[in-house]
Amino acid sequence: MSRTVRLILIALVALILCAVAPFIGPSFADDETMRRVLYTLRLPRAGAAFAAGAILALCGMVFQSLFRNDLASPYTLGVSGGASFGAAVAILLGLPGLFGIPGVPLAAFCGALVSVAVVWRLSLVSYRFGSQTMLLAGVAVGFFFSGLTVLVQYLADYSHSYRILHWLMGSLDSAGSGELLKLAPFVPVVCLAALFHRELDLMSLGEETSAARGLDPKKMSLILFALTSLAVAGVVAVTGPIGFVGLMAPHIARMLVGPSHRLLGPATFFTGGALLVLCDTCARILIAPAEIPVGVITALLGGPFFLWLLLRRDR
Amino acid sequence: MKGLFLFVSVVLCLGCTRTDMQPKTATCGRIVSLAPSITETLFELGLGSHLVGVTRYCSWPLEAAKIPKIGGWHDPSLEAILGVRPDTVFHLPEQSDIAEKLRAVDIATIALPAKELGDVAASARLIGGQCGVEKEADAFAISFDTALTQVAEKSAGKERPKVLVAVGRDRDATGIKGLFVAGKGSFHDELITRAGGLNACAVGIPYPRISAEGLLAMNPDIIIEFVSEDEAKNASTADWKGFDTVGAVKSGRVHIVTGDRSFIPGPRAPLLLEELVRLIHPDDVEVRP
Repeated sequence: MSRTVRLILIALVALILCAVAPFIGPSFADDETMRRVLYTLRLPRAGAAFAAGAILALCGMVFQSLFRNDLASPYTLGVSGGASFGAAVAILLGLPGLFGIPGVPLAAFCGALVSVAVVWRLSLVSYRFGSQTMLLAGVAVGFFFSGLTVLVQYLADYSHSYRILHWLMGSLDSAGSGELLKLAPFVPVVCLAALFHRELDLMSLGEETSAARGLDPKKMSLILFALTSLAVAGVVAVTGPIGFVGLMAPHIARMLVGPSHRLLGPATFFTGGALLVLCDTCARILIAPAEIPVGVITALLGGPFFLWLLLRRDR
Repeated sequence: MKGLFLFVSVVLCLGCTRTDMQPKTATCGRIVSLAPSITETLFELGLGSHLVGVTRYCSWPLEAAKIPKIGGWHDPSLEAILGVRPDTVFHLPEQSDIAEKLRAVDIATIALPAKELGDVAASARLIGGQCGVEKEADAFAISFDTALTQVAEKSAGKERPKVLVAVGRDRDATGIKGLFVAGKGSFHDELITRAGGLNACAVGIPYPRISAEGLLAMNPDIIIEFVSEDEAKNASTADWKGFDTVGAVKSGRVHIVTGDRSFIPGPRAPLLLEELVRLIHPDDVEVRP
């Protein structure tokens, strides 16, 4: 099967999954209620899950190529650390919203941007600016903000602490059309990053190689870093840090369509989206009417699936 | 060794006081309580004046607020406890870590479970035995159990409506989001059952988080939202109006109950239970003067 055909298949499966997911789950006898559940709750939620998964996966792909590191994820550069700190402070102090955006996502977004700005500034200061410096700076900033988050959690009383903990697990249980609208502007941002597929191909070969081919690796990494970080900040602010999708989806896509970014970009986009829609559907129905945090499902479902793929590839 | 000597002499002195001077004084001298439910029970048994340390959540009765704070119930400070020189510390079974450290310095520690309503009377009897106020404890336990039974009788034999008890939600969000409700095995589940209701949330997790869809699926006849004093100003029954297909919203049976006592499985539980019965079976309970 040619790689293009595989890409088309991935896209088809993803779209079918999105269309089917809202129909899975407890049904309601009353037609009016059923319609409302479908159109105002499940459909926007599936849309939000797809957007979040697709953005996280593409950001993960860009980071893995940028740092030439299989373990890179959208959160490697400390974005989730900053966002978590912002959210924790907003939950503790009950910060009010602005411009129709509630306080917690707003503070999380600001926190994420602060951590991104710090990593950016640190990377510029460094004499030998390179992606490895950025990686280390990001990890350090992430740890710093995690420390602050734990401190806030410790200072908070029981109910606040519980809510912070729940936010840190990442979830889509309250995602609706509002969340979908908040996520939508970040989809074009991350797609813009994926448009640099030739540059990404070169960057994944190494900085010297790409420089020899006439690419300015520093400038390119800054552009990619800015685009992806903005998008991740947007997702984390809305859903909390949902793990695993951004790390695994690019690998799954790579196994299916190969390493060339022209196909890998769209394949990652659809794989990430489909993966999160699938996991969120499980989170919604497994112990209905209660919810399981979707981050738990992504790890429990994604881990074994990924290992199976790994073993199959090496056989 | 010195600590032991001190402890023994304190106990001996207390023994003297008890037998010689004030025959009815408790054998516990200085008491620390590590939970609001315990603090309230101690006051009920007349041991309030012996309390030298409570948690920062202990705000009832009002005198409790003036007693030095030794931390929260999940993060009590060992240093602060030792600082108020207690001879007896009453704690929850979950706080066994700190209890072990206290026993190591010869402070008596008693674990008092607070999971079910039945634990309140049992705790009182344990305290009574430890502090030599058995009579008071017995009297309290009997009147507590009687109060519970009396309240429960008001709803006996009545049809049980589906009741959803909400204990928390995202305060910054518009409408109802991130809702935590009482599931099976929680203190509030027992309250619903005793008040003649049927818990709408049959999930076997004490306090699960449910989505909007979950709320629609459970379709409770009555919604009772418990909010603490701090959060009262942000809570309104109008927040629920988006769920107009839910029975409770349709019939206007969404109630907000304010007060920290809603979260404390302690001596005030019969009052809370009475309030629940009034909300669940409004026609069957005469309004008290």
